[in-house]
Order: sequence, then structure tokens, then C-alpha cells
Amino acid sequence: MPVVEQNRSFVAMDTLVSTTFVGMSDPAAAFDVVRGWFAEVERACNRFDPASELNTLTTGRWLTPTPTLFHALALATTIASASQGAFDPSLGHQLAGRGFDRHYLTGNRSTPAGDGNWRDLELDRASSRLRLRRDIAFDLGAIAKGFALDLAAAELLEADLDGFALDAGGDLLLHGVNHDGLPWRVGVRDPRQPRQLLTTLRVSGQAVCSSAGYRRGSHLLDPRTRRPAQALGATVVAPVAAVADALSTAAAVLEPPDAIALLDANGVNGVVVAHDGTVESTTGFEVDP
Amino acid sequence: MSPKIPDNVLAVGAAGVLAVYGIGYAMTNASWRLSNEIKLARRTEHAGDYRDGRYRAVGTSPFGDVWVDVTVRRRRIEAVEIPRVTTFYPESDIAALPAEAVARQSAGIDIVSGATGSTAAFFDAVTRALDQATRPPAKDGR
Repeated sequence: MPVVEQNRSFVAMDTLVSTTFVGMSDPAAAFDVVRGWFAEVERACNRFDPASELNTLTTGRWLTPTPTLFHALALATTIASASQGAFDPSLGHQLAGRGFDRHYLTGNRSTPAGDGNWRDLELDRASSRLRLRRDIAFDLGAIAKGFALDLAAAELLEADLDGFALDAGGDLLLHGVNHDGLPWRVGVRDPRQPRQLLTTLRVSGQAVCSSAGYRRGSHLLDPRTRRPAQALGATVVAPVAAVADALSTAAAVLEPPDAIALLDANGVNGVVVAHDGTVESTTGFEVDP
Repeated sequence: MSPKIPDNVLAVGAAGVLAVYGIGYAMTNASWRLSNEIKLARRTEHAGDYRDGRYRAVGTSPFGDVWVDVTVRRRRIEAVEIPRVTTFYPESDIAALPAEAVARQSAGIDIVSGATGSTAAFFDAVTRALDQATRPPAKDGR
């Protein structure tokens, strides 16, 4: 039986999203599923768009956001808490101060207001409502791409296909098999020498997300010290892309032993490269030499 | 240390995905155009001044190239498509790699984790395509 593979790309969330579908009867429909979910998460979470749902949240009252925004914020604050602030979704201020203040399509500058942080967000999970006790400059950039990947995958998994690989600016989600009928073979870029690979993995049903200082200048900050991250980069493998995305950001700002402890505590695997070039990984991090 | 046991982040993440996806919060092509293509047209300074046609250009980055087809209709950007993307897998410095790494390179790699710079390549390509759309029709082959 011939294996059909189709590759298509689009731009969303300040990044190029590339899709590969294997053995799919209707790849155009699958592509639209991915594009639609990125559009939806961007609509809800884009801090650069004054009209995004995130930017229209008001302070003080209980609000009923769309499920997309509610669950993005719920997961963001859960990971912020689990990482004791190493992942911080309320860094809009600091990032804007460092020049990350323009919408990637319109070029419009946005200056986030807000002196609160993620601890000032109250969530009522039973009623899916939330309340901002203070004005908060949210930045969901380190979780939104992963969340969109997860939502797209949830819908694609119900379609008739052998496998798919989604790549949102180097954050990957892989399911099923590649065109050889095998789990996906994933190269992890080496933050010490970005044109080379650190390692190679064999992955299916998992996301592989990397955070590194080389990505767009040194944009990672340690939220607790407000200084640039010390680690060169971290890569996390997890079944939920939003978690891999956010935890890779947290792991990249921590000292490697603390990063590995964080990944272990949350049941995910990964590898961290320290500034001195030392490489540490979780015990369950399996490479495919 | 906080005595509170943190939520299981994987469980919260999976539950969030199911909650959002489960209620069928799917979006349409039309909304994607609103969120991207219209903004892209608005972003360009010469919006409305383009010659009708279809323009292909390639943008480059150290890690990959992006081709775009920009369609201009009634002097406005109607669509931006990405017919092709290449990712340069790290083989250029192969001579400098240790033997183990060389062996790794030779095996097939489907996809690479870590940023590629291809978004910059995309905007580079769009800018080049729109340069074609603002120039008078070529006569000397350039």
C-alpha cells in the first residue's frame, strides 16, 4: 500500500508551523485542523494583540473566559506553582522592557500594564471562571504553541491516518509513525553549536520542546532573579506539548541539578545543557543512537 | 518548602486539552485569514499599491529556507502560501564532528527540535515577493 506523506506550513504565533501527515486520506482537512487551532489559541492568548481575549480581561470582577483561555491560564499557573516560579506566565513587563514588545505581523508596539503576578489570578475550576486580583501582564508565549499543538493533535487523533509530525518553531508533537512505518526520529539541536545535534530520539505519542538562549537572542529570564537564564538550553519530552513547552522554559533557567529534579518531580524526561557545556539528563531520557 | 503538593501538571494539561477540544471549539479558515493574512496586508507600508499577480520568493536562514507564493488581486494581498520549507539538518560541519556524531548524522532524521529561524525566513521571503509586486515588470531578466 503506498504511503502518502504531505508537508505544508503556515505562520502563526510569531513562528512557522510545519505539518507532516502520513497515510492520510484528506491531508488538506488535517492541515486546516492544525491551522484552526493555532488561530484559536492565538485569538485567546496573544499578548501583542490589543483585541486578544487575554488583553481584554478586566481586573477585580469574576469573569467567564472561553475554555481556551481558561485552560491555558489554568495550566500556566499550575506549572508556575509546580516549578516554584521558574516558569512564570506573568513576565510581560520584563520581556517588553527587553524589546519583545511588537506584534509579529502588525509591528504594533504593545506596552503591557500590570503590577501583579500569576499568584494574583484566582481560578474557580468548578465554574470555569477567573478573577484577577491585580492587573497582570501575562505572557503565555511559553505555553501557547504547545497548547495549540495539543488541541490540534486531539482532533487529528480521531482522523484516519498513520501518523503526523507537527513543528511549531522547533517545538514538536509526534504521533503514530513516519513514512517508514517507524516512530519518528527526532534530532535535538545542540545549544552549544546550533548547527549540530546534541542527540537523537525515537518518539511517538510525545512532544519534544526545547528552550534555548540562542533562539531569539537571550530572551529567557529567570523570573525569580529577573536576570538572563544561566543554562544554555533544555529539551523536554512529555505527552502533553504545553507541559513540555513550559517545563523546558523552566528547566532552561534553573541550575541543571534543579532542572532535572523539576522534570523528575513532574514525571517527564529531558536533557539540560549548562553554560559550561555540561550535559545532564533524566534517567528515563532514552536516546536512539 | 511549601507543604502543598502541586497539581500533576500532565493531568492538568491533558484535562485542559480535553475540556477545550471536547466542546468542539474549532475555528474556520475564515478566522485564520482574519488573524493572519489581513494583518499581514495591513503591516506592509505599500498596501494597495501592488500589481496583480502571483509572486514567488525564497527567504533564507542559517537553519532553513522558506518559499512563499504571494497572490495580489485588485492591488491587495489576497493570500500568502508556503509551498516549500527546507530544514537544514546539521551536516555542514560534519568533518568536525566525532565519529559517533557522524554515524548519527547518516541515519535518517525526520525532524529537529529547537528553533530554526524559519519565521524570519518567511518574512524575508514575503518582503522579496512584494518587492517584485512593486517593481515595474522586468525587462532585463532581473
